[in-house]
Amino acid sequence: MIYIKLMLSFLLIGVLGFGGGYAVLPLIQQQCVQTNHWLTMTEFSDLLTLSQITPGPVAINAASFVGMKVGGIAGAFLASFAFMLPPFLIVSLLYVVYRKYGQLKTVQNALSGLKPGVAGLIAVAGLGVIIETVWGSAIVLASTDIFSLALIVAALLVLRKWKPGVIVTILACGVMGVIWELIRPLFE
Amino acid sequence: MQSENKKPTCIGIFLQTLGIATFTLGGGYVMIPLLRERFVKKLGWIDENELTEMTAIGQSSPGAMIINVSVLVGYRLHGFWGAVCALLGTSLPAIVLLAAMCYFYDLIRGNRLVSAAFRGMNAGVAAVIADLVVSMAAPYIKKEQVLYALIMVGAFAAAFFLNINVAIIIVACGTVGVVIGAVRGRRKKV
Repeated sequence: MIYIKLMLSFLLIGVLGFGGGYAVLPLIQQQCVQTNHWLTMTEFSDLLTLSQITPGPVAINAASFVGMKVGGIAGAFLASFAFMLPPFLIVSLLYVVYRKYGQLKTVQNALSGLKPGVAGLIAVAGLGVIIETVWGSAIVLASTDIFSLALIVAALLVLRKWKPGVIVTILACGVMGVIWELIRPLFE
Repeated sequence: MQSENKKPTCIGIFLQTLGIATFTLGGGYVMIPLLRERFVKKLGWIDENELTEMTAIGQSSPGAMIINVSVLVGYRLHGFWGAVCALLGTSLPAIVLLAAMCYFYDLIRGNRLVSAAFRGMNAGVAAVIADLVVSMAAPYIKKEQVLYALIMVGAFAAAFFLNINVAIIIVACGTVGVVIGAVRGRRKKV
């Protein structure tokens, strides 16, 4: 049944989603795009965009969006709460342990291994979005969307140099997309 | 006004977290300063040290960091039900808003200009993620961090080239971290 699948997927994402925010993207991509085919890669990219320009944690945004798409309002709440349950239990446990024993060496060691691993995985998710935006499905030189590629490079340079807010950057890129769509006929 | 609320009630916790979560764009790390301003400075419900400690625990747990921090604040203020209220307050705006957006998304995604806007914004998100990866990777590009840099490259290769399940990669990275920590700890003792 679809609700059980949805719940199990997001429980798993909740258990393994160490590192906050973007760290769950690779997990969501794998569960929702590759394993269960609830989203296309285009929808996944759009979902990232929507999560960025709306309030709230990216992971909750994603769970709600996917849940709504798959199973309506009930699906949205089910996926979100399934995602939040494992962290809720783990945090409760950690809080008690932390208050009693202070810092946990093993947890910290595990985290110092997880952090670079998560960075590598986020790079894979980011690469997926770049490929989807610039080439669509497969990397073929002829199908290169030069406008999108230029926009990504320009936005990255601006982000590194002037560090504007994430939302400002994304919205500005959206405006550029619309402007390009309107003036493109002039060049063709 | 609200600072006279000496004893936080469950409803109070719910409304405060709801208010913060509704008006915070840009995810978790933006919300920490807001939590500080509201709960530490304005309401005086928790102190600065506690919030820092809670942020550390929130980061060490899976899931959305800010939800974890809210849950901890809830526990501290009103036990289990305080934690539940904080969780609901922090997550409800995102759940409701995105469910609504999903509905409209299907209606407007076919529009030519909406598509163009999405294409532009997706390019922006790609740049944001690339920027994040550069920032996350930078601390590991050092001689003494070479083991952790290898974990990073290994995780990337395992997922991108070998298509290994992300869950397995995450568990493996944590295990390697524990092993590295244990070996280093033993060396220090000897």
